[in-house]
Amino acid sequence: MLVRETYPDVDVAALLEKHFIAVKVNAGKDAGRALAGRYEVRAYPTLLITDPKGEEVDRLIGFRPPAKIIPELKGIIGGSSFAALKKRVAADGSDLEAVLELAAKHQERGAYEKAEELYRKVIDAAGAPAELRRQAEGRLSLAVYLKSRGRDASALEAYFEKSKDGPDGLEQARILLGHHHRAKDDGKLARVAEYLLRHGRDRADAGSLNAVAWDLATKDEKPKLSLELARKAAELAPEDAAILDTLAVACSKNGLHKEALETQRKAVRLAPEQIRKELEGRLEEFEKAAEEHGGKRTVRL
Amino acid sequence: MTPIALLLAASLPAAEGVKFLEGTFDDALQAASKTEKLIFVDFYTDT
Repeated sequence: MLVRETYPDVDVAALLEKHFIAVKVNAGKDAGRALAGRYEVRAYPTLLITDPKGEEVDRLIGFRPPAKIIPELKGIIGGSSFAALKKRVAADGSDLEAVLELAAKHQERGAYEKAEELYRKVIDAAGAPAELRRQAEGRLSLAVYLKSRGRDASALEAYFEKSKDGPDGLEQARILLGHHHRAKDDGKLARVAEYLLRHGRDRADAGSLNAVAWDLATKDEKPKLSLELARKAAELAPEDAAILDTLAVACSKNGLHKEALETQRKAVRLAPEQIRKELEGRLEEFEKAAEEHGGKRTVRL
Repeated sequence: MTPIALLLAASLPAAEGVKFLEGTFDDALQAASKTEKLIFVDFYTDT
């Protein structure tokens, strides 16, 4: 994904060229394995940033599209690296912006307790600006959820209820959608789905709507909701083949065979190599079903 | 490559994306200490 989507980007390339020596290390081979061990790299890809002496400055764990990695790298260059933030917070614990940024870095590393401690520091600080406190509360609700390995959503729910009319309920809503779906809590699922149908606005929202829509469609559950979620996901990401594929399946489950066919044709046209065959297979089934049963049969998956 | 294609290729700006150092992490350390740049290490696995 980095190779296909992020590294060919001209702005990413220009930024790395100007400020970094970029090198690839295969952690599956001898020398690479030793280096990964030395830096305690546990997930792949990990993008490790060091100074010229090899001291770790920061690390980014997991795939990053250009739009995400560029501001992160700029932050690292501009003095908001993990190492720099730790120094800033150690020197001045009342620098709440730095505390909040550092907490987010700990959270990304999976150090949820440390993140939680720092978020609480921001929330409890006398005179903390309302905007910083609000951000800390939102991030804290996520940290608590992640720390519980997805079992305890109460903090997320509380924050979502409190902030859903504000600018940042979407992140909580995306996670809660999947959570309520897995927990089979239909009432809560319907409410969060409605919220995302109304307010969803970007690819992250599309991704979470798509995941639940696909699961419902392929399990023959709640066909109407599955279709609504898939439609919204496709509206937000109209060129995403996997999302169109979900919409086509949801259409088929709702008896909309013509739309299923048209949507799947578009999905196949846009499909990247690794999923094209699967989508073509489904297109054939949609075509057969439409021909053989005059559009009345739904495709079995 | 024909001479014309060669000429074109030579005159076009490079558009191949991120250029990774062909070498080890130690090579990157050396290169970074000369240029005072940071090092960006992409740890990956084949699987």
